[in-house]
Amino acid sequence: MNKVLKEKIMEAFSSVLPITAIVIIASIIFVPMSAGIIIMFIVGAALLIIGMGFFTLGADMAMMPMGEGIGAQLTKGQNMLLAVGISFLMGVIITIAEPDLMVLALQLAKSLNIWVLIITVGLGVGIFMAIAVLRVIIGVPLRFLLLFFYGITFALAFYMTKNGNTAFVPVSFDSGGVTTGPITVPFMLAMCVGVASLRGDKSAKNDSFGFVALCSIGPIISVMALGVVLQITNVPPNSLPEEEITAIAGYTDRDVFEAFLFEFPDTIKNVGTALGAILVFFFIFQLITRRFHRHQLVRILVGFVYTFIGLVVFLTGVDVGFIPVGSLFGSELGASPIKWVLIPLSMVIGYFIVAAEPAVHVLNKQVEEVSQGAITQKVMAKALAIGMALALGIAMVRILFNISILYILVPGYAFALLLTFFVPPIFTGIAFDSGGVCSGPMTSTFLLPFAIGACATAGHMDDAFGIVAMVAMTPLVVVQLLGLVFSFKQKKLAASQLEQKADTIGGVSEDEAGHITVFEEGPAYG
Amino acid sequence: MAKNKTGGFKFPFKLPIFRKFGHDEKPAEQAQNVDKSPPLLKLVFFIVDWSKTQIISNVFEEEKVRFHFISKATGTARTEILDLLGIGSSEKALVLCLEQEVLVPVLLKEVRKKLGFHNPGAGIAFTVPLSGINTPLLRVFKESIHQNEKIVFEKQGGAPMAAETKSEINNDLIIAVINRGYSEEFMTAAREAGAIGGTVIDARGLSHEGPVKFFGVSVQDEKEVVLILTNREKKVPIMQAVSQTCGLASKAEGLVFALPVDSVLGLSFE
Repeated sequence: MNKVLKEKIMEAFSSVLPITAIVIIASIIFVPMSAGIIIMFIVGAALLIIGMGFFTLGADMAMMPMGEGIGAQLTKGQNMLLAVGISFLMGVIITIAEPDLMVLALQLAKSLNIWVLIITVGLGVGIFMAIAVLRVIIGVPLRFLLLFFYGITFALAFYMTKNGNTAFVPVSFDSGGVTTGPITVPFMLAMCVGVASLRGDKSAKNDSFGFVALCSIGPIISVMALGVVLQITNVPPNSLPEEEITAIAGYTDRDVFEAFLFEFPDTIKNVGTALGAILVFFFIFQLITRRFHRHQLVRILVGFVYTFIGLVVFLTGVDVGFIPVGSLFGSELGASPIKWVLIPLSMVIGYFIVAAEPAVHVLNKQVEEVSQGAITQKVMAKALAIGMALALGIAMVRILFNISILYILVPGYAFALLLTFFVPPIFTGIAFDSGGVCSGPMTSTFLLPFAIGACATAGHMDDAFGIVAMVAMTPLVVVQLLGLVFSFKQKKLAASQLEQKADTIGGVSEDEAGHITVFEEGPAYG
Repeated sequence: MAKNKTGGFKFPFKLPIFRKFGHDEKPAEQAQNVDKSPPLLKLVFFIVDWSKTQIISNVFEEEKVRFHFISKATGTARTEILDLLGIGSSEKALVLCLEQEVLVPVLLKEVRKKLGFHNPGAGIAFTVPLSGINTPLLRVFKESIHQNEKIVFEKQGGAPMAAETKSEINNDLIIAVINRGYSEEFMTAAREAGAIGGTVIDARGLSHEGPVKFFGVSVQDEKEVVLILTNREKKVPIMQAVSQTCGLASKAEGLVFALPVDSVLGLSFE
C-alpha cells in the first residue's frame, strides 16, 4: 500500500479511536444509551476517520502551499498598503467560510441573527489578520501586542460585567476560540510561515507563529463590541430538544443511514461556499501574481478536492453522530447523583479528544517543521492533551459550582501573559496559536452540547458557554510551560557543550584558529 | 526592533556536537606530530525518513560522531501522477556529518543495521570527499585518531580498512538550486533522463548584492535545492535535461552542478 496514504489513515485512526472507545465505555458504565444512538456515534466516528485522512492530505497539498505562497508574496510585493489590504480581505473571507463559526452561530440563533454574528466576527478577524501581517513585517514582538489587546479585551469584559451583561462575555470568548477552526488554521499557519520565511534575520523563526493567536483576539473584541452596542443581556443556548433524543433512541439502521444522508447536502453546501470563496480569492491572486505554475496549480486543485471531501465527511460525522451523544451524556450526568464524575470523566475525554481535532495535526506538523524536529509532534500532542484535560476539568468545576468565568479567565490569561516574558518567543507564538487551534469542530459539536447538557440539568444555564474559552486558554499556559522546560534544558546543554568545547579546542591559538588545512589530493575521480 | 533579538533559543540538532574522548589530552605540538598527513575526512550524507531521525541520532551518539547537522527535506514522487495525487512524496531528513575515512564503513554498517537499509526505500547514505578544512576542527579528529584506529580494527576483526572504503561504484550527486516551486518540473525532466529519485530542501537565496530591505527587514529569494544521486553514465543526460528545462534561462533560474560520491549505501540502480 502507498506509504503516504497509509500514514494518513493510521494517523486518523489513532486520533479518533481512543475518544470513541472512551465514550462507549463511559456510556456503558455511567449513561446507558440506546443502540440507535451508539450506532450513530460509531458511524460518525468512522466518517471522522475518513474525513480526517482526506483533510490532512488536502491541507498539506492545497491549504499550506497556498497560504505560504500568499504570505511570501505579501512580503515580496514591497507594498505595505497592499499587504495590509489583502490580509484584511483574506481574514474576512476565510472566517465567513469557517464551518465552526456556523455551528456556534446556530447555537446562538435565539438571540442573534446568525449573519450579524458571522460578519462581526469576520471583520474582527480581518482587522487582526492585517495587524498580524504588519507585526511580522515590522518586527514587533508578539507579546507586546498580546498584552495590549488582551488588556483591551479584559477592560471591555469588566465594563460589560459591571453593566450586568455577564451572559455575553463567555459567548465573546467562545467566538474567539471557535473562529479559528479547520479551514482558517492551516491557512493562517502557513501564511504566517510564508510571511516570516523571506526574512533573513534571526527572529524570522520566532515570528513563524502568532497569526492564529492574534486572529483569535479579533472576534472576542468585535463580538463584545456588538454585545455592548446591541445591549444583549440574555443568551439562551440552543440545546437539543428532548424529543429529538428520544426519537434518535428508537432509530433503526435505516433511520441512521437517512440521518447521515440528509445531512450531507447541507454540509456540502456549507463547505462548498467556504472553499469556493477561498478558491475565487486564490484565482484572483494567481492571475495577478502568477506565482504558481501549471504543475503546482494542478496539485493545489487536487488538494482542494481532498480538503472538500475530507471536511464534508468529517463535519457530517460530527454533526450527526456526536451532538446527540454529547448532549445526552452531559444532561444524564448532570442530573445523576454522582455529578462529581463529570470532572474526572471530562478530563479523560479532553485528554483524548484533542487528537481528533483536525487542525491540531496541522499545527503540530508545522511546529516540527519550523523547529527542524527540535519540538516533535509527539511532545506537542502531549502538551495539548494535558491542556485540554485541564480545560475541561476547570469548565466542569465551573458548571457545578457556578463560578463566574472572569474569575478563571483573568488569572489564567494574566499568568499566560506573564509567562511570555520568560519563555522563548517561538513558544509564545506556538502557545497562543494552539489556543485557537484546539477549539475546533470537536469542541463545538461534542463538548459544547456536553456542557450545555450538563448545565441544563445541573442548574446554571448561562455557564454553558465558556467551555470553548477554557479550551482556548489552558494550552497557552501548558505550551508555554513546556517552552520554559525546553529553554531550561537548552541552556544546560549549551553550558555543557561550552565546557566540552573548551576541553577539545581550548588550546587553539588565534593563528591556528584561522588556519586552513587543504587535502593535497582527494581520491582519484573517474 | 525585533530583528536584533536572538531569542536565546537554538535547536539542538543544528549545534555541532563537540565530544571529549576518554584518553588523556596531548599537548598541541605532540598532537600534530602524531601523523604528518592529515586524516582523510568524508562528508557523509544520510537521506532517511523523517520519522527515523532519532535512530540516526542514537547511532551518532554511540559512534561518537561529531559535527552533525540535520535538515528537513521532501522526497520526490516516483511518477508525476502520484505527485499530482499528493500521495507520492514523503517527508525526509537530510543528515550531514563529518567522519574520518577509516571510520565511514563502520558508521555506515551500523546505520544499515539499525535502519534496515537493505529494505528498498528505507533511505540512502553516501559520502563526498573533503578538499579542505579549518585546522582546529581537524585537530579534534587527529586527537582521537589512535583510539579510532583501534576501534576500527576491533570492529572489523583486524581486517585492513583501506580496501573497504574504495568503492567500485562510481556515482555522482547532482545538486541544483532552483526557484521555489519548480522542483516538480525539475524532477519530471530528470526522471525522463533516468533519475530514480530526488530530495528537495527549502532554501533561501543570498545574492552578492545584499538582500532587498522592506521596512528594515531583509527580504530574500525563495529557493529550492534538489539533490539527485545517480550513477556516472546517467549523470550527463540528467544534467543536460534539467539544464534545458530548468536552467538559468528558464523561469526556474537553475544552477546545476555535480559532486563526486565515493561510497553509496542503500541504492540499487537496477
